[in-house]
Amino acid sequence: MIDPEVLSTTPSYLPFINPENNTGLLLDQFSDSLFKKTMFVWMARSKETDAATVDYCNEGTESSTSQQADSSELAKKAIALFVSAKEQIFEDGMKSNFSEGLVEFITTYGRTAMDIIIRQILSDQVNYEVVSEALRVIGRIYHPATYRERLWLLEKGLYSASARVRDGACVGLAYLDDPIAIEPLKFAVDREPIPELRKYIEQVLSQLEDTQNGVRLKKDQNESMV
Amino acid sequence: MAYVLRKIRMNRWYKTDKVPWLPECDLQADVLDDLRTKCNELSVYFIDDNESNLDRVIAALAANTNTASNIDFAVFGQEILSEIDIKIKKSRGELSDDLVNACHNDLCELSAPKLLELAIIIKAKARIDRKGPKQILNLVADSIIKGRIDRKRINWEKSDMDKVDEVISTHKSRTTETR
Repeated sequence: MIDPEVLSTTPSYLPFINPENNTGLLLDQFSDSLFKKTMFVWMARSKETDAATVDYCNEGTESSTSQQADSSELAKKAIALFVSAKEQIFEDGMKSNFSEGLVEFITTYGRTAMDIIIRQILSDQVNYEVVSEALRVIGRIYHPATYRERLWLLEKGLYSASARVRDGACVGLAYLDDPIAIEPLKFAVDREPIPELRKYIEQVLSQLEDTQNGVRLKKDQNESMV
Repeated sequence: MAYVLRKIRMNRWYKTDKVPWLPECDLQADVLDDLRTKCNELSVYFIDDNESNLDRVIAALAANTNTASNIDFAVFGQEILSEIDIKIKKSRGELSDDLVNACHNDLCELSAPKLLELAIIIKAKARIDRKGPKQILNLVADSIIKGRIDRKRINWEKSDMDKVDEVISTHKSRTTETR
């Protein structure tokens, strides 16, 4: 059962929550999407779990630097951004017009921007290479106000039918370095058919487990000092 | 026999990626993005037999980017180049680590079919691997600590450099504790 308070802050694009019991969440119903034929289960977080991720501090409030704008205009902007990306060649570690445009879009328009980006990506009208690059960027940027949406999208990316998209999601989660993604990554390892990608998911899992242990160690040290 | 390293994007090279329209074991055209030539030459780095300079080369490649990102690479035996008759030209690299620059070579006089042949052989025989973003931070920090890379020559964003500094200061405090 999902905490009603969590539900109230759940983004509007989540079409997966069964209103009968607030539990059933299958992406199969989201036909013709990029992530169709996947077994996505959105694991609603309890408040305690969310508290483990300090970056949620601004949840529910837009960043002070975010601007309000007409959403249809923003959607046009996002489409133009993704369309122009198709002609770009992406290289790890190198900024591109697309990556810089996407960072600016998210940091300027915050959660509204993420809502549009998520719809755009799930519409299955975006090239896989571009989606993969977008997920890397989404994991890398520092923008607390959109943290939940970005984490949600990256976890969902692990269930894509495209290996490139799954890879981008995995790199994005490695950037976020949030132990909350451990469970989704464990599921991802189990069903990953590509050995190279499976190996990398395991590597990210190990990284997040180290981070979790580090956080626990710090907490224990602080408590023992008190 | 030494190895040859080429920076790539791993997800274009998966050996078992089932792309519906692609015949089994065939290459996706996108792999050619990773083999972009200039003046029909392709930049590569030579790696020692025991791969002792592998991490150093990767750190230097990472330090040459805009952000602290993962680095994907293909490593294959140098003998492959002679098998497919590809010529090698010694040329100095332009990275921030001089020793790594000395490992730089260009594969030269490459025709389009020759490049495709190289791509096919990389897919079949190369080891394709990745250092994740966090590993890269550690490798670059290590190279700075050891004086191989000048911190000032890295063009990463401040937030990335702050993370590198954090790794360096953790390393320093551990070293002090050990003493």
